[in-house]
Amino acid sequence: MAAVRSRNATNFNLLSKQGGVAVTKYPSLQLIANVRGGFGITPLLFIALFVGVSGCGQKAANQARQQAEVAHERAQVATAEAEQLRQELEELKKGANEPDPVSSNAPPEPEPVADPEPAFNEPPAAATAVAIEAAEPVGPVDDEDLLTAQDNNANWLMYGRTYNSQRYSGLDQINKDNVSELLPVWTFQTGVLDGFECSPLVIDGIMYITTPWNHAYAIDCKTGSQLWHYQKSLPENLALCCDAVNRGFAVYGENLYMSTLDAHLVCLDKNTGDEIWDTAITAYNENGEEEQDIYKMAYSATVAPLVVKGKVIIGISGAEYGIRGFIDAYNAETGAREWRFYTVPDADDEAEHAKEALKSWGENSWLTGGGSAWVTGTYDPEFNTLYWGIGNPSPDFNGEVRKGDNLYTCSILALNPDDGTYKWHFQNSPHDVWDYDGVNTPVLVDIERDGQPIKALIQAHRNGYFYCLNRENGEFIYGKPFCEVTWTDRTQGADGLDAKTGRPFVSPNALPTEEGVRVCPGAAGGKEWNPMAYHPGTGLAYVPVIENCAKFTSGKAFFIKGQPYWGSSLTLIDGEASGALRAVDAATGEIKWDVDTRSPMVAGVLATGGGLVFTGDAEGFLTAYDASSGEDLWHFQCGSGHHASPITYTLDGKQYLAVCVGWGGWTAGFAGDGAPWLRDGRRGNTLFVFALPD
Amino acid sequence: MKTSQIKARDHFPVVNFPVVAGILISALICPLVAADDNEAASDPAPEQVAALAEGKALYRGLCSGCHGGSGRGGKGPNLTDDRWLHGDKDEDIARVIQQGVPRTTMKKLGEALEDEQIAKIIAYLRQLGRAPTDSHWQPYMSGDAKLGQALFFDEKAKAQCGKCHTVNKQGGRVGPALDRIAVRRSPEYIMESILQSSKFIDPQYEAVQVVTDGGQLLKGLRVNESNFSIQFREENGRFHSFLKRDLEEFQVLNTSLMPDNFAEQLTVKQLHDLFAFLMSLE
Repeated sequence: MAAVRSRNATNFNLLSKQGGVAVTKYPSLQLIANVRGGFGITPLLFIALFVGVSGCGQKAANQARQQAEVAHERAQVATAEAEQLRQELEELKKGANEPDPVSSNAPPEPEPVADPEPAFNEPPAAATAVAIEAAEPVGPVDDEDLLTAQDNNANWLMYGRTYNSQRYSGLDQINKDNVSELLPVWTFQTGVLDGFECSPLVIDGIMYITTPWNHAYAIDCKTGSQLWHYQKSLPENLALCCDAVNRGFAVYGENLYMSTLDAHLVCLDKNTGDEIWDTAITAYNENGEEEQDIYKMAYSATVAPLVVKGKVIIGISGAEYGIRGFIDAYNAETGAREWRFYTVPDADDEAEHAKEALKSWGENSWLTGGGSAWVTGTYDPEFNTLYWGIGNPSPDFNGEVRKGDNLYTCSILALNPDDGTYKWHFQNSPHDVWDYDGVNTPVLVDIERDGQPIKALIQAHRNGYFYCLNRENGEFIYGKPFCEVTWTDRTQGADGLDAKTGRPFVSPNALPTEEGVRVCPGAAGGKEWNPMAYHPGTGLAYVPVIENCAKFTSGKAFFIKGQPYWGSSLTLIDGEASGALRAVDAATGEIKWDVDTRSPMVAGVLATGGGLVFTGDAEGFLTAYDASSGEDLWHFQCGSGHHASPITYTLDGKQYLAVCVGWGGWTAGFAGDGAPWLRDGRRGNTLFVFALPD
Repeated sequence: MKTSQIKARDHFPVVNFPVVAGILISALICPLVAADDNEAASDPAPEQVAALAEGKALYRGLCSGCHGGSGRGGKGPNLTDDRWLHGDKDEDIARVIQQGVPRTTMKKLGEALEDEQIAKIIAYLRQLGRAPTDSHWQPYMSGDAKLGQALFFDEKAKAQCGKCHTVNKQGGRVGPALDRIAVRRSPEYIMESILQSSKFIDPQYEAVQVVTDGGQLLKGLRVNESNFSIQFREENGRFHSFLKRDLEEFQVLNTSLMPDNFAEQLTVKQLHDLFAFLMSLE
């Protein structure tokens, strides 16, 4: 395994202990705690001013300036003492290869000192916000609000926080020094069991969550009180491979949008929870007729929608049942469908790309080809491009009945969000037979390679490779394994991928057989759908990892409409499942630190300007890790396993952390035999909110 | 804290019988084995084989996504143990398959499947719950199960199985209960577990060893473990819970708490009696 262990763990521990003392000794340094050691005081003042003026209006700017001046004064007083401490720290640092780029522990240095070997990029200005101002109300959410979500630290306006889905917030009030004091301030129990996968939205002091079975709530952020409750009326006998889940709302104007288990899209008034419209997602049935109740054909919808320029964009679920996948855009006002892109082509489609894609399907296998799109994509306004991860082909494990590459399954698709037209695609796993359901979020980041800036897209794919593409044209940059990978022939190409095209060299020994063959990763992949986070300050992507090989069998593939279409099965190998949180350098794909965990890590991740990474584990602990070293700084037992993504926001100048907690989802893919202690895992459905004590 | 965790994957069971196990066990018990070339179990009828094959294909295609390829559960419940939440008779299971379980993701399959197909799924499920039998082991079961039972519970004998294992609610609770063991585990698994106790360790019964910050060495059976804490019970029944960061050392042992010297401690006759007793637990 290529994993690099948390290097110099002892040194880091030593440093943080020492750093902790320093900060306690000089409380005035807290304000500038987020600044990198060699950053200096004066630039801080300018940044504070800049952030104040540009972000918060005149009043806020004045306050920010005053606070920065106070900080400056205090810091000057402390400088002499700090200098002495710095020297002591320098002693301790000797032998530590990697400086701590987002440390809030290291005391400030009086002069900017050139870092001899910078390991990471400097944190951008956004990461160094000094004080939290009471936020201006957002009101009705417009395109501008969504485009500038990164600067809006008070609110959480979309699934991945920003269109690039970095799940990074610049908030640093909760940071490495004080995170150990974090306490729950309220909880909200929904009472609805099954996997709680929601990424909440926060708009002007109100939190909006969706739960399993398509309930939804608005909650007062100050008190945790319920403001309204909505419940979708659902038919019986839904086809749900992986629990009755939902991943959250999208917002636009005064409306909220939720996809539902019976394959509808509903629009709610965010102030009352009243249903404004309810649109049935339709599809063609086996007779070529447009069907309204497509849940009977085993279509369902669980994705958190993405709103781009007044269009509500969703992807469909159901590739374990032989559906034919698509991505849809609906008019945010009326609910009328504006475009559809079939992720599995149609024989009648005249578009060039579709004709090409059709050739990758043997006979009529495209009719039941799968290709779901159940995780929210990303959007780059500069290129006006929508990026979406496409799921596995159907049937999952029997490739004989669908010969060819099976485009666009297990691919990343780039589309024009205005009309849904094709731009480019990159197929990670051609002709997948291991359910490497390629839906994982394509995160948009700007990296530098060989001195050249690249507008990149990174994805930790279920197939065990961490991919980096040029997001302008889909060009392959690199693909590196981030977990144990045996389905490719690792002796060929670069780690088993063609170095130019990224196409895998599939190992013939890994193809499922009637008796079964052990392949890594297992069918839940090296990483499940739960999103990773990217910290622009460290340049690291924080990947929740599943280490779990499985025995794949291939068998008779029989299609029964509305029923599972797996083409045989997989069996987990006794006691083999474990997990990790790995920090991957987005520029190179190298693993910078690695924290092993007892169970597969299947919760989303949040990175913050406080130098922290938050995620939950299967045993129920929500943990704060040091973004630079992976050291765990705080954890709290939430009472059920984590399968959702933490978020952060502010209210009245104070930073909060929120996370939905409730075990569930497709645990068959990584629990059961692999991690028997998670078999029949205890459910729960509680939202936790944390803050520092006053 | 020093952590030298030995991962469970280091000892997952790869049964390579009879090549390895056979040699060892044969060497121990060969003298008693009478040449017995009669096939102990006759082959099942071809139509039965075909029905099971169809049941298997249906199970794998329709059920394994939630209940696991081995039927031992995952997202859905374990279908190979004795716990049936909605009734344990064939007709109860058939009803659940036909009608689904409301308010769960267990779908109705009644419209999609013929009764006969459902019956085949159930037959396969029943088989999944049974460890593979192997007629090769018949000759080794010549012991006296009654004597084996007495030996199992004899507090003065060297085996002392009952000190840690229960059968029919009798015995100690340190190790796994052995009720129905002959159904749940294959003969070679059972024989090897007696002779080489560390070869297969059920992940639910792994032993841990810690050194506290006061330097105290403690060993016990893991009750629960998370990334930050460990709970275990010593052989004397005493329960402990520690935060890993407070420990000098923490280790998951790859050796069983069960003694590994029965090959020397027991006579071949006793071994056979014990084996016969365990194989009678159906």
